[in-house]
Amino acid sequence: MQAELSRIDSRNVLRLRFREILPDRSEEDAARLALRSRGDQPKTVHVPGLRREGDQIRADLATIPLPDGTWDVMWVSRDGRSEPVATRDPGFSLAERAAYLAEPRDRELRVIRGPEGRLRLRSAPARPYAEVEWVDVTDSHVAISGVLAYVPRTPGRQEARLVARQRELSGVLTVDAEVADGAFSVRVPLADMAAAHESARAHNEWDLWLTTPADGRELRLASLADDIVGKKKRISFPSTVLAGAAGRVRIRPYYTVHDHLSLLATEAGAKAGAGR
Amino acid sequence: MKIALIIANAYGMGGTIRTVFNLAGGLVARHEVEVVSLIQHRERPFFTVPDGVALRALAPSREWAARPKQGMMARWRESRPCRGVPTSEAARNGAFNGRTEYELRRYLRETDADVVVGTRPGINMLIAQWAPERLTTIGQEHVHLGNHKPDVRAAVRRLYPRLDGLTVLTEADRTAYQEFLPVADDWLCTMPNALPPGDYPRSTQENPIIAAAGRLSPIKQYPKLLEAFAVVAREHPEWRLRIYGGGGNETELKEHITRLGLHNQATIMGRTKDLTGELAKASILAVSSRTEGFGMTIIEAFSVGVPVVSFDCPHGPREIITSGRDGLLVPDQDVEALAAGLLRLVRDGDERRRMGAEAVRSARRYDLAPVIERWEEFLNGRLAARSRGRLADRAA
Repeated sequence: MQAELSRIDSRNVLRLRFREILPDRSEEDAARLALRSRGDQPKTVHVPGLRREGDQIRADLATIPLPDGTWDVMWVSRDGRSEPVATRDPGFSLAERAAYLAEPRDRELRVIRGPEGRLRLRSAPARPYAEVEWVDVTDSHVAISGVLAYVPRTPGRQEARLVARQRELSGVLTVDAEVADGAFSVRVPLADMAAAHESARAHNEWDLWLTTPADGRELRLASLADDIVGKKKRISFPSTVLAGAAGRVRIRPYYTVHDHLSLLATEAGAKAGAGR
Repeated sequence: MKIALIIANAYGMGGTIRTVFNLAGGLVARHEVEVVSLIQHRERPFFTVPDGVALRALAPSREWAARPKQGMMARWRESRPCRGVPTSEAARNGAFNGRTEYELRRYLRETDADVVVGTRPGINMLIAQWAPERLTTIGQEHVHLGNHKPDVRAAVRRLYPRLDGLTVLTEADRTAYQEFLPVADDWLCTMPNALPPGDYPRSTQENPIIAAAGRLSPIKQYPKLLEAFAVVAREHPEWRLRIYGGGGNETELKEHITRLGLHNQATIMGRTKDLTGELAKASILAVSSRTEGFGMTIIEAFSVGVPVVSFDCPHGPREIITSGRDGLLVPDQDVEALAAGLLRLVRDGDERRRMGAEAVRSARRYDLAPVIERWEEFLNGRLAARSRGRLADRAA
């Protein structure tokens, strides 16, 4: 069975459209989907009830307790035989990923097309965070905008703050941010960060959180929605140099190994941090 | 027939190796096929050897940390230069030394193959010099004649006419060789690389992504692509550029992205094992090269329904792309024209989809089956020409 469309919608419904319609409709009505985990001891999770809507077959995965991991999607025919579902849909849509963030959820499902063409499903816990979409660096500020992910979005403007914490040190800086209809933007002034620079620690990392008084939760700034993994090595931001308490300090945004956004402050001219 | 494909190193991960394995996998359906590697530097090849294809290594190389103990003669020979290939060719590829030359001569003496195919200039030259009369010898060129160093060109002129035939990747290269060598028309054949068989994904043309692919080397001219993309990014900030490739100076390229203020929109994606899978997420492929020997990534983009906007650079793009139908050829090295070409497809989703559908049709020309038929026709033709030649010799 090869699908030409294979998507997860924002309600965690798997939508499939096959290239060939089964000749016998009763075959299709009797068929089921199953998910088989990859690895040495594969587990199988059966998906109850397929729904047909137009030319699509839909399987509701929202109610199925699906452990973390990557699963092969299997087509189980009436006689119990199962075969992996192949797909030619790359399964990746920037717009759909953006829409998927807009609702609160505790589990994130993604469809993947494996290199050999098999349809896979990745299940992972979803934690609320702030998805970074744009970062600009000026002489004195870092401007960041994006959207709130996996939290209820309140229509209209909301008060919000960005909290920057100096990793393994005591510094905390708070800046006013703006949240409107689930989108955030903030301009982080860097002068205080440069002033608070601890020369004893070669790298002063400032980790960033967004918080709204109405909600109280702190949302880590991160870029997790697209399919680019390992942004720390892939994406470099411009830097700026400011006067600090004990010399000049270079500050630039960077992604951590977890694709979280932080700011890195180093002494300007020092070798540490150069070329990273 | 039995066909031996001779390659410098079948154990590595380059494009030529992938292409040769793909060809071997196609030929093995109707022939006996052996891939002969001058050197071996690891236990198993990086790419999977196709079913039914035999792999033979002539000499374990010094780069192999766990290589079995070698005899004194073997070690002495590998310290000697390979006299049968020009200096620049030996310097370019580490497979050529006195030992591999000796082992290849012995192989050619002893093999029961009907046809031996060399896959790079040095190997073509060695088989031209040492293959016994009973073997049909075919050279394969993956690089345009004009890109060879003077010493290689001189050796090509001297030695290639001794081969029974030569395949090149493009019509442009065929013309260049025809002018360079005193050979018959049917001695030379344009033989494109084929797409490996398999189920390819299909771009849905929904993502605002322009892709580019290939080593991060100066010949790909990614800085020019970034300049062209900057024009697109200003008008359509939601569009992204993804460059798939490794090697070269990645840091410098990243700094260039930052300097142009494209750090939110352009990303060096690194190498990928599933290039067609990645290209299918994009909606346009951009080619900004100084030259393209063939343009395999153009065909890979076509195979997943992605139209290509390319400089009309020598030699491959204009032989693959039909401008206006499955992509756009823009004036060579004209960055503004490249930007305009990209913008045209960025603005017009309908045209993109139409071109994407045409691209899939164009890609079929490079399916393995028709390319293998072309190979068989060429090999049969060369075998027939040899027997005609022998009859003529006897009559004379």
